[in-house]
Amino acid sequence: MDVFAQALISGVINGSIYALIGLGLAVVFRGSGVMNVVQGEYVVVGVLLGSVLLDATGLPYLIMAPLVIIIVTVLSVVIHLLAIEPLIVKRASADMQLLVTLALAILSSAALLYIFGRDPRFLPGIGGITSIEIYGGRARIHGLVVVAVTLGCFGAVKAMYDRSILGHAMLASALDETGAQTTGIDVRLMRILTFALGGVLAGISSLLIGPLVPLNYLSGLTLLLKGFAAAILGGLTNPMGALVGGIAFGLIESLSVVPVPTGYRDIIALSVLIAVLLVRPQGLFGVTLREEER
Amino acid sequence: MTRQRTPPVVGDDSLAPAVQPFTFPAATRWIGIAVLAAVWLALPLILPRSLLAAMVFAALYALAGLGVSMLLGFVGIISIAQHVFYGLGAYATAVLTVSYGLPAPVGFLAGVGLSLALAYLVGRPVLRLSGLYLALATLALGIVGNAAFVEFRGLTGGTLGIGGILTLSLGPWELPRPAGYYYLTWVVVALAIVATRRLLISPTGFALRGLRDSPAAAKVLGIDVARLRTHAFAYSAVLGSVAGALFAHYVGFISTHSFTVTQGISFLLVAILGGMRSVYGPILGAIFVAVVPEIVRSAGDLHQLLFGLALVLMILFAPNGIWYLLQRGMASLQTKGHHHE
Repeated sequence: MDVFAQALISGVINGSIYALIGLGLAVVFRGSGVMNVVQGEYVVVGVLLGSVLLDATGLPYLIMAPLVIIIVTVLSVVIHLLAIEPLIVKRASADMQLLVTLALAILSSAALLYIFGRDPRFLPGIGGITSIEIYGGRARIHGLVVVAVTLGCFGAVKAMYDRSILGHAMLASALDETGAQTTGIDVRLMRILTFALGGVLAGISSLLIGPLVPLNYLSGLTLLLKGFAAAILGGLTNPMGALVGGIAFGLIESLSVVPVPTGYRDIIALSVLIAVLLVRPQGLFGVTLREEER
Repeated sequence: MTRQRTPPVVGDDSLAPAVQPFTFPAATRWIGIAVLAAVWLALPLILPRSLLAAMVFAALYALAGLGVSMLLGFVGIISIAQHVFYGLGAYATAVLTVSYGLPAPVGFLAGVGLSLALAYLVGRPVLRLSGLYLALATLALGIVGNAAFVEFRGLTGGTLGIGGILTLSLGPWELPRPAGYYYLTWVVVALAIVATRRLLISPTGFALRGLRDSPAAAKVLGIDVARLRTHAFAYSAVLGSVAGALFAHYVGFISTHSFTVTQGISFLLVAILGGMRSVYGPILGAIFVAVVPEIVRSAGDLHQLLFGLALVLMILFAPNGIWYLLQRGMASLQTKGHHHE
């Protein structure tokens, strides 16, 4: 098997997931101005919950999957209403918001430990264990599903923001709260929908990543950082950039372990993240910043 | 939202205590200090061994947390990477004393030197960032640091760790665990607090506060913002490193599990919970973080959940920390007292 081709394939597949997690982060950031550190935990919640639903209750996959997405979405909205919305209303500083969502992530991680224990868990992949050969490398059917679903999600989010009145209303509330209110937009509702969308994306991400990487209660922050890397590489203010950013990040990560031991993967990948932050904090596609758009 | 934009905003009004700091009359104050000192001296005689050990950890947390607290409250830097310096301090002294048989002070100095080197090397470029970007960059640094400890297993022993680290000794006299460490670590904390206080009321300290509240104005006044921020970061790293070295000699065995991001977050919590606007805050924060879990440990994994809940509630409803709550409590007691007279 061609090592290089294999690295390319797994880079694109893992990168798609990072892109999708990054899209969740970017959507919430764009819609509310909050960098939601809990987002990574939602993905872990999805995987652990899904795995328990399958093992303990014997639910079929086709019922488990939508159930996981719904529960993660509800969780995202509830946490938003309880802890994040009050901060936005109070106009707490960005650092304060970050500290609160970080504390929420710690709480979520502790709750996951309490409920699901320490063991890492998997989800079954779509298409079982069949794999196909692509240019000398192999990919499971699930890997192709990952790429397809990610592209679908990006397409749907883009269409929503570009075409639908709802999408415009969500962006308007984030850009100019008072202005949006005077045109009759329910700004509070739009923020709730933004966090609901973030939850849906996290739920889908968990169904995609579950079969590829075993996750436990400690995995949330690393996932968050990889999603953040995807979002930042593409430019936080442009959710679509996360797609290219995520795949670029996945490729850097998988190609870097061709010449060096696997353990160095996170070291190299996150060093690249720091380097990008330093060199191009506006991302690869230097879109104008929100503040400057006003 | 980039480094060109607004200042790091930890110092805005949502966090600044609005009341005057409460002070006791001089006499009461000295009596209070004497009572506290007596309690401090007597604690090893009263406390069960497990709680005394927790108090040693509290001192280590207070020391490392003081660095994070100073960065957060006085410079406006959220650092989630303090465990890297804690680890550097611990590994430096462990490797040098165990593998090379060098005396412990050499290990301490090597740890401090390594931490300074890393802080300047990384701090200079990274501290140009602010707010969100800086916080997440330090989180990435924290994960990279822990992964590096694991991967350089030839030196660090990886997850298997390094054992047989001797307790600190002066000639034939060996510092007993835990009581000796209880006294030693808290004295070091006290020294660090005095040093940090002096630093904060020096011209450098005022320059630091100036650049926290308004980097633009600080720049106009001719303050080299990047340099000053890096110095502060290095100072914080030294505190972390000394705490780590003390930790290594105290527990005698270290492995990568002690230097995870979770540990880095704990140090950040010490700063937030205690009250980042006071050098005394980290003491209270550290006791909360180190001792409360020890007391509720019988609850098993539930204790982490309770701790997480307490944490979220504290940040939401008392963002200025325990120190501030305590001060406000005492101030209201005092006013009530006056009404009775």
